[in-house]
Amino acid sequence: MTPVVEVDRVSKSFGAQPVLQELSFSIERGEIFCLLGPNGAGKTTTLEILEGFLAPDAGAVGVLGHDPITSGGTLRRRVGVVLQESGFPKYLRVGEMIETWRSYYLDPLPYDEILDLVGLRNDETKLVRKLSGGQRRRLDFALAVAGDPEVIFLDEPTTGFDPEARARCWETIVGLRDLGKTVLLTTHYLDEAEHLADRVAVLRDGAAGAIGSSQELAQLAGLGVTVSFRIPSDEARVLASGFPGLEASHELVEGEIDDIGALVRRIEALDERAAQRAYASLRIQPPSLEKTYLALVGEPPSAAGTES
Amino acid sequence: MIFTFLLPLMVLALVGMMNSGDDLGDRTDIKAIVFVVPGVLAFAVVVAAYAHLATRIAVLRAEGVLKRIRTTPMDPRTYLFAHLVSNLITTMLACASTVLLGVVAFDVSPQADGAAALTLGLVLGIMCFASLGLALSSVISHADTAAPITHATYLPLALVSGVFDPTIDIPGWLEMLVSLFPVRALVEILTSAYDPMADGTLLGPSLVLTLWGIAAIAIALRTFKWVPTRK
Repeated sequence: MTPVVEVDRVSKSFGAQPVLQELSFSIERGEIFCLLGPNGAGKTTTLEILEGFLAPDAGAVGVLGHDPITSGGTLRRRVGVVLQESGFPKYLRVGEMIETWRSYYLDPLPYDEILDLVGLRNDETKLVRKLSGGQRRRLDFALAVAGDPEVIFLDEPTTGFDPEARARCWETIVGLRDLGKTVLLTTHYLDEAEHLADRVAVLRDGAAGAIGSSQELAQLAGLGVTVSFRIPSDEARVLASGFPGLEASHELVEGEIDDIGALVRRIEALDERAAQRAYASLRIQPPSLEKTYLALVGEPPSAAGTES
Repeated sequence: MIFTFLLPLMVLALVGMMNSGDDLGDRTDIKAIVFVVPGVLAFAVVVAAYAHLATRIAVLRAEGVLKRIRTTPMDPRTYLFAHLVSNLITTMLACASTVLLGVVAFDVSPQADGAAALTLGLVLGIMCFASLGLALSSVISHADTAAPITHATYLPLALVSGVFDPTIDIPGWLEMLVSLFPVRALVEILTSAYDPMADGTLLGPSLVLTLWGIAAIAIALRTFKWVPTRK
């Protein structure tokens, strides 16, 4: 099966400033794929190329097997877009906007389904210009899904949201995946990528530094899992000395290890009571995406730079 | 939108009140108001077809509404065409109400044989100024500056073209210059529809409107953008 979105060695410069340099990734049907990176890493530029607003200088992109620049309405019928920033006609009501947008498509989502999906049920008759920021963003979503698209591009969907609005937005995005949609989103929030994305591409200087699930990225970054457990203190000291990442203090052994299998075999080798004790208190934690990200790009994603 | 209707009417009411009884240069057969009405009618075309369209498209572009439309499967030509039709209706209503106000308030009507000149002026004028409005919208990059820039492009020209005062006296060289611009050309054609002594030769001003219109649409088609200017 061909991927829903394919980006193949795409380069793009604005004037003398290179923004994308041989960026490649592909997205399978039904995935939530996240482009993560600092401001200016090329996230929005990538989306604008996939949306047909910009032509790449070199390389090729395909969305549902089409070239977004030349395919026109054929492709736009099957793609929903939430732009980073875009206005509404001011004098329409929420319901009228949604109905207008539905009329642009041959086989739109049912009106009520859209309202429920984005959570605008109680704002149907509100004038668009009187909506709050969060409500406007939900209307952005409503219009993007009006045509029942197969693929949805979301450019920083939750920037500027309060925590509650963000949680609602995440629910909507997960709801889209449940409907079988393929979602590509950009964000500079690590928790957003970690919470939503099946796979993450870490964008750095216009290229995908690493691509994978957050576990795969952690492996790529050479990060182990964090473990802790308790065994009798003399055993603890001996055991910890066998693993460079582990430290013992009294009965507590904790630290980071690469090979969890080796640890399990070592625990099995203890006497039964000590092993039972270890298993009863054992905690294993995968590395957070934040830790992975820092290991991969060396600076937090909100670091300064100009957005492009 | 309401402003677009009201502006020409307010101008006609005020200018008409001020100089409806004035003499018109060396003409003894008519009063100045007979020329004020077609002047303001030309102003109505400029305000509705040009200024209103230019600011509307510029604001829609700057605020990203055009970009959002471009993400839908709607044919962009259909969308633009719909805007032009809507603008045409606005312009015709503004013109009709101006003509009507001239008849009702000042007892000034087009000449019986002026229908051809009136039609010619409105058709060429609306096409020319709508094209110019579309072209102008492309050079405006912020919603805030759309109205000031637009007004600055036509108000001085309207003034020296005698839109508000047909008796205006300007230096010869300026007169020459102004006659190359489309506002004056439109005023001349529309005035001939109201002038009982009109001789019916409208080739010069028609040519001016046509050439400006062709140039404007060529520029508009080349420069039209769906996305806001990058910051």
